[in-house]
Amino acid sequence: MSLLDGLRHRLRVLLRGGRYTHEQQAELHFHLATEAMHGTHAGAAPDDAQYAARRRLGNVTAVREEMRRAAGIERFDRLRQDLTYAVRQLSRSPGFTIAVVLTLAFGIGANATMFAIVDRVLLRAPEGIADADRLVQLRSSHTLRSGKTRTQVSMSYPSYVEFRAMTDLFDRVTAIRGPTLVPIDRGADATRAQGSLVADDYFATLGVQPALGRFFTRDETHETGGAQVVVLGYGYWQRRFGGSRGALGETLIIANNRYTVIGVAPRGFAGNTLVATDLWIPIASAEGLRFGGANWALQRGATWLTVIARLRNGTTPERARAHATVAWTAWNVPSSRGVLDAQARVPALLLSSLVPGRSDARPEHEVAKLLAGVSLIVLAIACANVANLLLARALRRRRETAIRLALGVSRHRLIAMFLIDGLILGALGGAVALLVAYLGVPLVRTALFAGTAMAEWSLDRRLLAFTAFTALAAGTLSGILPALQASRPSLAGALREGAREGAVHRSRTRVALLVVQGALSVVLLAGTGLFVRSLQHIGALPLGLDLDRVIIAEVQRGGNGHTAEQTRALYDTMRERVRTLPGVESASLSVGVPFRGQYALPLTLPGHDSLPGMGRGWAPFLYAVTDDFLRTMGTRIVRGRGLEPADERGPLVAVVSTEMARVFWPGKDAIGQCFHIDEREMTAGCTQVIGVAEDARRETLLDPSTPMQYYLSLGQAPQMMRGDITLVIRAANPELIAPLASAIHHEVQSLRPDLPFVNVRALADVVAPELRPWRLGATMFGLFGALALLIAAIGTYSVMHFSVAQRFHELGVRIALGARRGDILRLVVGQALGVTIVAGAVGLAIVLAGGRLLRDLLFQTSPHDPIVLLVVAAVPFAVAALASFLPAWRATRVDPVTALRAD
Amino acid sequence: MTPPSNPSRRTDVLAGTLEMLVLRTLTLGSLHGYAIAQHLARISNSVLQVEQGSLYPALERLLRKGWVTARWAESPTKRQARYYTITAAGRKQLREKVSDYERVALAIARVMGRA
Repeated sequence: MSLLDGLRHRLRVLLRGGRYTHEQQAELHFHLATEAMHGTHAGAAPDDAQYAARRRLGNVTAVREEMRRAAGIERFDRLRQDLTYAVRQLSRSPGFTIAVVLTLAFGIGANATMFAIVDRVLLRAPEGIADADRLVQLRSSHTLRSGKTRTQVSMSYPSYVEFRAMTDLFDRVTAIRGPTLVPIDRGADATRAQGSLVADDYFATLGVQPALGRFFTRDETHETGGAQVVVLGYGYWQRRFGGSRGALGETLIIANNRYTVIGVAPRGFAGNTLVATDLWIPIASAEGLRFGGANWALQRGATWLTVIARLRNGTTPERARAHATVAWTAWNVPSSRGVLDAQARVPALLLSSLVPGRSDARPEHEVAKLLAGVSLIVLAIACANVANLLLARALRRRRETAIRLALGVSRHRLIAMFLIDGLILGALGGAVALLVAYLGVPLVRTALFAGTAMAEWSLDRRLLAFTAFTALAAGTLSGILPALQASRPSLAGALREGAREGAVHRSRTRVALLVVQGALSVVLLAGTGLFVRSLQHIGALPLGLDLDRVIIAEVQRGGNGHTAEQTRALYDTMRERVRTLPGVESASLSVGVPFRGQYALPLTLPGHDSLPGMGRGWAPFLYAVTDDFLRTMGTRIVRGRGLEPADERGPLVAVVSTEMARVFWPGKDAIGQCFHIDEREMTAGCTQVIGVAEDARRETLLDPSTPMQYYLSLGQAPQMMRGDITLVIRAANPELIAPLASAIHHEVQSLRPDLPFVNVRALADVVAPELRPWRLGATMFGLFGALALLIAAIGTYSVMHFSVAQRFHELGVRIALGARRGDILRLVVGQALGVTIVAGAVGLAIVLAGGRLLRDLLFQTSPHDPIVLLVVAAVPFAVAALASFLPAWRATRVDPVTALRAD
Repeated sequence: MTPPSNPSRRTDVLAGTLEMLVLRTLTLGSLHGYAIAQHLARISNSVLQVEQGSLYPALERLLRKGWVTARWAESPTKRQARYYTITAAGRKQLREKVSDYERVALAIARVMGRA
């Protein structure tokens, strides 16, 4: 601790300054007085004793001087002087100071914001988990024949049971489904909450203790158990029960069952993912939310669970992985069903960390990392700009500097003074940056990781340390160049010659800094442009449906004892009610929801052994719909006719997609052809094609493959599709989507008191997460790019302004010699444009060289997209012209008489 | 205060050595500067002449290095005095210095043919 004690002492001396000298003096006084006292006790006269004491101590003044030196007071005095001087200088030009502090604040603030996000979302395990380093998530990967690797994050229940038995590798193993939104309560009170289905040992594996009540017992979570008990998340307990202990024993209707509250999870624990979980229920109890049908616990084919294991002490992840892979591969021999399985060559097991940044390669994570890099560029631009401003100021103060040098102030000290300037500005910038981060973090979090459990975000120690460090670095970086430049002896020599001679000096450093700023702005603008182009390309995709006009309303009734006719009647009533709402163009019913869940049933073509163009076990998607479904979705019929109300009970008919028609009946007219749906009763006969619809996106927006699909009349739906039906509604225009969605929710939800939560969403919102990486990339790059451009513009302006002031005399001479206003304008603006050309060239070179980094994040856009590069190269010119116009105009106003008379 | 018995045989103390002596003295407990000076004079039988004037700068150096800490407290004579206390780092430093010193002393003794 010697370092700390010593530092503490130095700080004390620094802060007490002159008063510390008094302390030293008092100490010597005490010494002399005590010695004299001893002398008098020994019998000496008081005067003699005092004299003797002084003599023995030596020269008091010299001793005091040496004490001062030993304590380092002189050095601190100088530092304090420099600090006071710098503060006084900065407060004397508030405009300059504010501009610099704001520039740095945005640069540092952008970094602090991205640090807070990346640190919380990517670099740490979800909160509240004990010893997260020993936890692993089990995933599988398959190397396909094509050489590509597919990672599967979910596992089947039997796989989980087998992992659970590997007690030599894992202390505890648990399985989770979710969190997903589950319906809570019924009728008008119905809401939703993020619910997870959990297996044995969920909380024990994560090392969590209940805040209230208890967690599940083994019996309650066992696959044959399934007690209807629920554990609440801390936040949900607060919101729903006001944090009352009386919540224990209360009941909640979750999906189709009543659950009794038995416990509350601790504060700060949000589950095993970053999505805050509101409640946990045992898997076996969750009728209607499980996968894999009635024998889910034995179904190997249904992979739907996240499996998390705590490594046994002394077991390394590598060992666990090697051992578990051997066993796991033996159980999971690739079956012959399905394209993926048939192509799978090497199945392998992966153990990944719960820290998201270490395992997931989701586009949001990539974008977050990229943005963290981009924020560094913004900071670099800000530093370059501040360095430039400080340099300008240093040159303006050149006489003062020259005088200081002449008076023998060391170059060392001059450099220290400039650095102090930079550091003070950096510190102020850092303080304001905290405010920027405080406002920025919630914004970026919402944009990037909506729904993540970061509600209780605050300025934590790590962020403070990061900000302090960044501010220090930025201050040093901004201060060091001006310090070296302005204190250069040769320059100082030149400066002694007075303003006019010094004026012709053009700082190459300043121009270089401008080029750096300009080039980096170009890089950011190029990033913006590339993301915007990606969005444009996505927007231009032929979707075969109108994303911006469609609303879907999902009602999960889960059977519960109604006949098919009763169910249909209820949905017909809903459809009629919704259809009469103002602004609704059409409303239809569908089994199978676009982008939400698809059905595919085995087909047989008369005269064919297997279906053309498909692997075994794969079939086209089908939708059982009412007559106006295609019109509602905005999918056009290209041949034949669409479904009509009469088709509900007539002969079996279908509308097929263009792709299906092409693959099934190549070279023939699909209309009039027929196929068998195997699941239908054998007597049902052949389904006849009556029309061909355009191809439409159904699973994902961006999947380059075109899925085959066909549409049956809802009344002719195969037996296994008689369940929950979705309402699909078309709004008269896109602006009506938001008000209509809430009107529809109200209308349907209040129809019957036993309805669970009706999920009404715009189709555009359903697919929005797919577009988020590009939207976000475009927005954030755009924001940072605009910021960079603004900073660069300020930089250009200040440099040109200063340059004009410097060339005051020269310009006066030119005007006196007959230079016209246009010539002067060209001279000044031309100088700025010259810098911009170099900056643009350097920036484009960086983009061309570094574009690869962006390639994976772009959609059908080359990182060297010519249009983007062209626009991006043009923008800085406009900015430079604008920024230099005012100084140039001022240059034309130079009065030759004044200019020539000035010293 | 007894004056040195034989002034001609006093030995000046080197700066680094003074710091070691001060640290050694402070292992007895917290002391003020005057007490340290007294102790040094008494222990060495006034053979080692500690220039009182160099004691205080030495203490300042020890403070800066973090080997001692200082605080103001009332002395038995009811006056405010600055008391110095050795820190853990100071003790460590002292141990190292003592072992250095012993090595050198032994070497010198060997050269002088006394060991």
